[in-house]
Amino acid sequence: MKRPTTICALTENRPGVLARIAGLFSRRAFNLLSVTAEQTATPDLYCITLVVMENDAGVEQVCKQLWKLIDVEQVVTLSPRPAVERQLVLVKVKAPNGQRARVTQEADVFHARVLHVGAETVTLELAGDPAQISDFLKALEPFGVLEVIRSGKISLLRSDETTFEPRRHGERLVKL
Amino acid sequence: MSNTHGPNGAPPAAADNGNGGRQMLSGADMVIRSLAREGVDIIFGYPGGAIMPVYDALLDHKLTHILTRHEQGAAHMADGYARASGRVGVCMATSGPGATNLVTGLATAYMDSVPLVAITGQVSSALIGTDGFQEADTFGLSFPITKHSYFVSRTEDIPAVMKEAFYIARTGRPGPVLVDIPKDVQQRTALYEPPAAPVVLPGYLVPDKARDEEVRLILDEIYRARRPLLYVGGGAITGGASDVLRRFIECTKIPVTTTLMGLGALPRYHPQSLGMLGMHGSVYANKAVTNADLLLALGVRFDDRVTGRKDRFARNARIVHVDIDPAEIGKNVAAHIGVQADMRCVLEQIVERLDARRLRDYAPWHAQIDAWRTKHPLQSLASGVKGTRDNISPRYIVEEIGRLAGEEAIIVTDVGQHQMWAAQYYPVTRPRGFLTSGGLGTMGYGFPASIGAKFAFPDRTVVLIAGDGSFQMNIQELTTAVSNKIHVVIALFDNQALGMVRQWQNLFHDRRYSSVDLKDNPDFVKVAEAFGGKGRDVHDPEDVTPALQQALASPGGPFLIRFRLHNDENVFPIVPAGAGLDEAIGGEE
Repeated sequence: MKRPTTICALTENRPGVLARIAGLFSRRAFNLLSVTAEQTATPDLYCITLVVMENDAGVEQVCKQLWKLIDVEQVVTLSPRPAVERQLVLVKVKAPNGQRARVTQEADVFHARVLHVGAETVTLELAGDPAQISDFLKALEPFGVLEVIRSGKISLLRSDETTFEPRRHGERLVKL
Repeated sequence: MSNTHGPNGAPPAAADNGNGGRQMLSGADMVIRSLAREGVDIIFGYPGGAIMPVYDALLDHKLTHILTRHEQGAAHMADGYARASGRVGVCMATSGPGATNLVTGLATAYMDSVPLVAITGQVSSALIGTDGFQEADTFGLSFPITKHSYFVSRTEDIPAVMKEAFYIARTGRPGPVLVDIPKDVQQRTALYEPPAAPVVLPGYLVPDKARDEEVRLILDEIYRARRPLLYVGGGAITGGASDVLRRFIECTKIPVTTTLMGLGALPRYHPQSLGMLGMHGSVYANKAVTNADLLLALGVRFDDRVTGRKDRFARNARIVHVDIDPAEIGKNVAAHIGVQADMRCVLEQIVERLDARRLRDYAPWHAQIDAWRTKHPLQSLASGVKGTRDNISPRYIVEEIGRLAGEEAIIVTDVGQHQMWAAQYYPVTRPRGFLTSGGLGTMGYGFPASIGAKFAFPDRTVVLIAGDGSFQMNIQELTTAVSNKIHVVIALFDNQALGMVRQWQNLFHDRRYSSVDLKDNPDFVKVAEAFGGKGRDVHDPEDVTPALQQALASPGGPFLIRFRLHNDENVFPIVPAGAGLDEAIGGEE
């Protein structure tokens, strides 16, 4: 059965890494839901977090194909292991004068921040796990949501264990 | 990689001559120096604007450069050189069209795991991204068709990049690596420092042995099996596993079938060899796969031309899959036991621990296979039948080549019907003795690859088996062969048609022949002669032997024999695309 799975890839900061990964997904027809790439605490290493929609065999292939890329040092599958997950959403909601207070009240319930107040709209920010964010957007629907933008998901293991192994020369790791 | 560089990559002020190999060099000189350090003695290439500094540097060094007549020819020659010798082949081209012309050759090498290093010039750094003259995104183009690739932005990085490129190309599952270098990076001078050994790549691991428990699991499967079968692929050739494979099968008596890429891993007429399996495999090999209770899949990737319908493939068997590339395990067919390791190491481990007394009695299994072999021999084209005028038997030609060329010969094929006839009937005896484009099926591969093989082994006989369609795709390399006095015997199977496509239209499209007629072929003998080679036309089966004898004994250049075949001759057996291996057409008793 296909289900969303979070995969973290630790990559070297070399030209074309992201293009190679993107190419892999289109060439092998893997289903990609979101992708986020940023530097880690080690400046020459990047963490690329991918959420894929695949069955178990598909996830295994994605991991092995990622691992095969020479610029990729480690590949870790997070789901279904317990993990903390965060996504960022920015949302612009209709808020004419009479309605503004109700919109900001709703935002308070979710601990969202007000980023901008205009004549007709309010722009809000929320960081949370994907389910929380969906609830938040649903709660705003009655006011009239004008625009939504969500970042890809980032994630770490919910334990004392680090997601990636400390870097060791000449060693590659794939955790399935 | 070194991180020491001044503004704009300006070299440090003081040159450091005679100090541990450190000295000021241009990027182009560094390329050549690096090739020499890797033991490269020959490069196949074609110059152009963006690679001119490297071509200039070539004049001051002893490296042999072979000027091809098309960049695609250069890539396939490097491929033929690499497949024949096991060394890394090197090809070189300019930016834009030069690089795009290499693409087919790189993709061919990638699909068949051939170690190549391709060096391409790129427009100068300042022009990149401006759609400059002869600019193409070579680095981006390379991603899906190479094992790895580099875009070199700093001159001082060249030595380390070149060293990594060769290391990656030849280790693990081999493959092509591309190095793209802008013209100004080739021209600039920087401090050359011999790269440190060994190469350290945290993201690259080369598998070798299997774990002890994995070996024990494989042995348990072998001890349990009553109808075991080895399914061996190109991994046996690239991994140098032929000798230990032979030891393994001779002490276990397990029968073997090979893929197209595995031909030569075992002599064709070894008593335990069932020849090739798959779409054009023998009926008895395919029946053995379907009825085996254990399939030992070694250095293979369960290609669709091998498996046919996957849910019917080896459906009675436990599957053990050993491959050096973990991504192949479970990719196409799920394995009960998957082992990521070097095939030669694994076989050595198995042979060492094997207790032959624990093997079951395979006599009934051998008897069953022999019965299939008798009932369904590979005789849709009967052995010894020569054919008639303008309808020469392709099997007869292939077997005559096998008889006359000798065991040392390297056979190269193009792609199509002739390729399958060669695969079915050529008595290959040794690894790296049968070169063919298996995975990508590249028409036009054969002729340049045969030239590359001859450069690798000038003293060995090289015979190209080609079709009239394929040969015309790189016919311009006749010049390269003539000017370098390359003696390749070109056995041209001319049926004046695109035979394999025609065969499919014949069998699966109600004989609606669409764009397969090659009646307007040129006079190939005259073409060969016009290029400066030799040629002979053969219409009668009686002339096959004397023509081959003459061609084999005419050194000093290419010799083309045009054999006239009938276009209704089809390759049998054939498992229709999407059918199971036990549903072949042809090959009946």
